[in-house]
Amino acid sequence: MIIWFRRHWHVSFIGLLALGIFIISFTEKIESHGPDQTYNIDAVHSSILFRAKHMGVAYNYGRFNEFSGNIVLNDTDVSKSHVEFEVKSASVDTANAKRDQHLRSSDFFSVKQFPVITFESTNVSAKTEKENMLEVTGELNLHGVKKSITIDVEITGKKSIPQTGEVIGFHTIFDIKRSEYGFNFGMEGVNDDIQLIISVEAANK
Amino acid sequence: MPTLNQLFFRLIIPAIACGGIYIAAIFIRTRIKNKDNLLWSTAVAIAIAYIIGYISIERTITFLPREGIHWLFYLTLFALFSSTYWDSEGLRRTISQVIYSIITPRILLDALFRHTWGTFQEIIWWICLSVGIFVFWNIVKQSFSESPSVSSVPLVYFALSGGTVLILALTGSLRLAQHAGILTAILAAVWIITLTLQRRMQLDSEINLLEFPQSLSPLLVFLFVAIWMNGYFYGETPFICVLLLAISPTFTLIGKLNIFSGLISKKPVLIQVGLIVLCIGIAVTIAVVRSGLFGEDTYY
Repeated sequence: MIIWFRRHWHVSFIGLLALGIFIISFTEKIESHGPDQTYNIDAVHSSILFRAKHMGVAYNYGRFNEFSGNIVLNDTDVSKSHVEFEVKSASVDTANAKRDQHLRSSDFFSVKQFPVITFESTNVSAKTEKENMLEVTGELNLHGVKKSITIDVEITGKKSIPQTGEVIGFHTIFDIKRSEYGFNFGMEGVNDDIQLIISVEAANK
Repeated sequence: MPTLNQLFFRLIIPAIACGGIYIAAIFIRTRIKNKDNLLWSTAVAIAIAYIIGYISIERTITFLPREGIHWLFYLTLFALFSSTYWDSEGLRRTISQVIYSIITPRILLDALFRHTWGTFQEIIWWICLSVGIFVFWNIVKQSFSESPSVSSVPLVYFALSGGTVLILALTGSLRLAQHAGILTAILAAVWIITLTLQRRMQLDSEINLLEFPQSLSPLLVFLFVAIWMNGYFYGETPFICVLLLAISPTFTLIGKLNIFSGLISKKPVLIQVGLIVLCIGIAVTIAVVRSGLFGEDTYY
């Protein structure tokens, strides 16, 4: 037997190599379901907050309670990733019923005319200088105005949970000028610069 | 709260502009042979003044209109164009009135037609609103000719726009209230000028120059209808308030009813304007009650 192996060493080498490749490829298939992973946003564990300065004095925070979306993440080629987001504008919540009613009116969000705020990515790239950072460019459609914006998005974590499957977290903070989206009412009371803070947990089911 | 600077640009400047053009047009009309030639000048004065106010509120002219409020500018332009032939040609005027009555709800409520309403709802609303606008238009036209005094017509529409401002402000549509505010300031200027000139003018032919011409009806109808429809469909303005505002000019026609003719002949202006103000007052009261103005949760 030993003599046979010594004589035909190249046959056994090729066999071991093939076995190794098979094992590696099989394990990879167990760890990942393919390059494109689709995650659905879990609204219960996600937040869309906004911050506006009142009378140039103090920051007031508000949030949107109803939103949905999905993220397609390609680990091998990030540029093939894609993000879609939809927010119900009537779900604006600033912890004051009167103010929320005013925000829903045509003075601000005009929710009957523009029931949804949408974002759809046009380009996703990895930030080379920082780990777990993505640069996402996309079309933000707010108050009937569509504008291209670029935001830095941090991948805050990724974990496999038996109950929910694989979950991933994203976080971004960026500023917009409300006047650029046709929100011109009450500039003297509420500043033009609005900060958006978005924290998302999405599950791959 | 609007600053003094904003109030100046949004209310005073339009009122001054309107007053200036209105007085100049009357002055020119007293000197020309055919005094009916420049009847549309009143519509021009009010339209230009409103556009000044519109730009000072909206800061820009949006092409194409994105919101219902943006149509206020374009409807003013349509009204301006229509005023040039409104006083002369009967058939063209009637056809225009029908077409405008049908088109106005469709363009103003485009978002509801596209996103909210089903086919049945669309048809019902479209028919009701088109008929409503057509009827309101006829009431407005009649009110110009049936009023007992030339100065009572601008007073009626000043009261109507003033009531609209209060109702919109109380129901949380402050931006629309500002648009109605421009109209109120303009009509106040026209009323004061009419009242002053009426006292100075001796001849009936001169006083007739102060009458609201039929060519003003498209502008007033478009502005009032667009503001009310935006308030009701896109804001929180109660339907009953809009209805009371819309029917209030009907009281200018009360003198036509035999049972009121005796009463009207004694103090015509007082009774007609009084009834209109009462109707508007009821609408404002309803808005106050519904707004929770005197409740605990009013400040934010």
